[in-house]
Amino acid sequence: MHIADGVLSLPVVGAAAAVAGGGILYAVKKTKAEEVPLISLLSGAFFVFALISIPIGPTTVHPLLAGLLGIILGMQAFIAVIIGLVLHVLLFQHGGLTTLGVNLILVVIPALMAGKLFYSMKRLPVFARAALAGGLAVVSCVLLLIILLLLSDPVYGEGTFSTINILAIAYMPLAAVEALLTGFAVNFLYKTRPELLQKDRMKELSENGG
Amino acid sequence: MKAVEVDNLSYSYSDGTKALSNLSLSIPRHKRIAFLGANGSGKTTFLQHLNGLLLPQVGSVKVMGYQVQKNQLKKIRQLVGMLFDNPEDQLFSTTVAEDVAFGPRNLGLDEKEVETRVKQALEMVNITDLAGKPPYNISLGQKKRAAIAGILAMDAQLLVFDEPFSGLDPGFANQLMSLLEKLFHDGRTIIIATHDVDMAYAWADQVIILRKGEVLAEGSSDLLQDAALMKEACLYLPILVTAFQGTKMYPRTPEEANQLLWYASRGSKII
Amino acid sequence: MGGNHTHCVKSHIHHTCDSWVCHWEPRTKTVAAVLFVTGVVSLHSFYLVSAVLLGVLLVSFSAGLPFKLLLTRIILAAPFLLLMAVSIALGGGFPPAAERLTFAGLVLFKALTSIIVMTVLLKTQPIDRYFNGLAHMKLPPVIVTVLFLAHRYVYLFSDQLANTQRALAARLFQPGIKKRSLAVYGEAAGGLLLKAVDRSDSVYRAMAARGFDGILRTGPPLSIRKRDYLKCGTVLLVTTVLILLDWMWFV
Repeated sequence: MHIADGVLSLPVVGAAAAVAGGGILYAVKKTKAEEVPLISLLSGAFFVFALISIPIGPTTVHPLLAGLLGIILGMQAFIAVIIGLVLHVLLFQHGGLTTLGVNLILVVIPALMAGKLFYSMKRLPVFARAALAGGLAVVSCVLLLIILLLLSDPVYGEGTFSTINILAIAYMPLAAVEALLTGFAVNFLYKTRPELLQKDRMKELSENGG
Repeated sequence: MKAVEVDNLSYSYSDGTKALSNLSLSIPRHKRIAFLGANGSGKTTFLQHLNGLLLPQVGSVKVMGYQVQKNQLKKIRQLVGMLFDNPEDQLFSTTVAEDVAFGPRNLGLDEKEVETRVKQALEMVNITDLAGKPPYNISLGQKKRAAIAGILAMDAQLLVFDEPFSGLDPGFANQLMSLLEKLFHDGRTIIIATHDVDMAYAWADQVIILRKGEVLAEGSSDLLQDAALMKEACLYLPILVTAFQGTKMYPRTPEEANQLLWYASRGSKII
Repeated sequence: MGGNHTHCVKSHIHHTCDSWVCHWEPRTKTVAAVLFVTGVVSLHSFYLVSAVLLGVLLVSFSAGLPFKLLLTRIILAAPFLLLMAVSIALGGGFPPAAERLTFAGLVLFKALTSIIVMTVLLKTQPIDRYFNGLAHMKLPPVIVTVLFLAHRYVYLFSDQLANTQRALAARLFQPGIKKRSLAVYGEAAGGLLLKAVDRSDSVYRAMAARGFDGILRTGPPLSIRKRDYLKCGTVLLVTTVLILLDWMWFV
């Protein structure tokens, strides 16, 4: 999700930046030296994969991967996502400078919720939990964006073909795509490397070398 | 002072795999050492102890006079340079020069000193023209050189190479061998872990054969002429040993072999 | 596996540049750019923002940036920007109300201004010089270190993903949103993550072997000269004047 500068009002952007900054500092505090290469490589991998274009009819979508981020990284998603956003700005000048905080929380808050959901629904099969988490991550991302848009200016919500209505419709297919994508990805990891899907996985991974 | 002194070293991984078992050996300074052994024999595990990446669980390891323990790691990592089998893991900066500067900066050297060391290291491995290039844009052979430069810039005296020739074409492999000789003649001790028995036979002053985490044999490269030993170690005999079996001649290199054959072809009773 | 922008990852290489912007020290340039964009985002006057857009376009030309580069950056953002602009303008029905058109124009022009400023900021020096500057901007060291490393490994993973795509295409993979295709995408994502995890241990060992303690140390940044302060100060002055004019316009 790359909201450009100028779309949201300055107070909204400022508040989001404050929340984002707090989250980043908290995640940074929790990160040990031996975890740095792991988070770096995962950030790079997520960034690269999110560049894939999946054709849907006449258009294409890029996967958001919020669900997958939350399930694998937990709080360190704050670091991985801000790095991904900065890389988008650095490499493609895509996104925004003032909206880095907004773009971060639009992905990370749904990611954290998705992660929590995945690990709490232990009765369901892994694929189903992950698909649900992945789909709901997109839905909550869009809901959050709608809230931010409405807080910025009510005009985004006025009219039949308002911005928020179009966004909601446009992101429906993505929610379904992400649900399946996340389900398959997490199921694959569960079959090949189940320790990636445990609590304290970051600590274990960095101690045991993956 | 020996380069390496190991006393009763044992190490097991967290999944229970016993990688090293009561290993004791010593390596003199300014020698060329080859560690041989099949996959899983413990070569890489042992080498990682030399740089302090792994710490002894049982026993002790001393490198260049320093005990391998937590409070000595900075000194040890300055003295012992490791080249990993995959240079992609070792190169991560935006340019080759920046990557070579990584180690010296971690040592806390001032920037002028760092610059001098980077320049010297790049000259030593003959890649000064690659200084400003991103590491991902250069060939495998060049990456290995860049990784070696990164170690030399720290003024490492004991150089440890894990499978340095893997993936290299013969041309680059020869160039790397010449570089290792140059580094050796500059006074360094060189340790190589390899499967390449022919290379070890031709090059090494001392050979150490590992099997299931223990030292099976150690001595000069004459050890590699012992067919029974090589079979036990799951290694093959050097080609030249096989070729000259029964002749009482033991050329180490193709050039030596060629010379012997030349004399033989002229009727000399050398073989 | 569908198209991707991974080829764009390698095409970011800095264009040779010798203008006044290229000689501007990266830290002061970044501060000026961020404050300028923040100031522009706060503006309410469509005419002021239009003038600003024209101004930054002229700056970008004087910086020596090729127009084609700006165009590619704008095209990348075009789908989202058009969606916003069209929905704002036509959301209330046809014909669009004047206020809606003005608001749509405002959002669009602010976004375009930001894109041009980001391009001027980031495409006027080699990336390693920019990273060096960033490393000396009092950011958390973990963030700087992760950014450096992630940037490096983006190229590696980009190549790996490209190899995977070629292998799939060779076996007639059909990109799309069919269940089987999404399974392949999902497994490819999982595979890439596994490679990252496995590699991270080797990377950590290689870094620790050269004394890494969690903080990536870089060389000294370019020194900030008087003219860098002057350029930065000028931008801040212009931003302040714009905000004051905007405030006066709307009060």
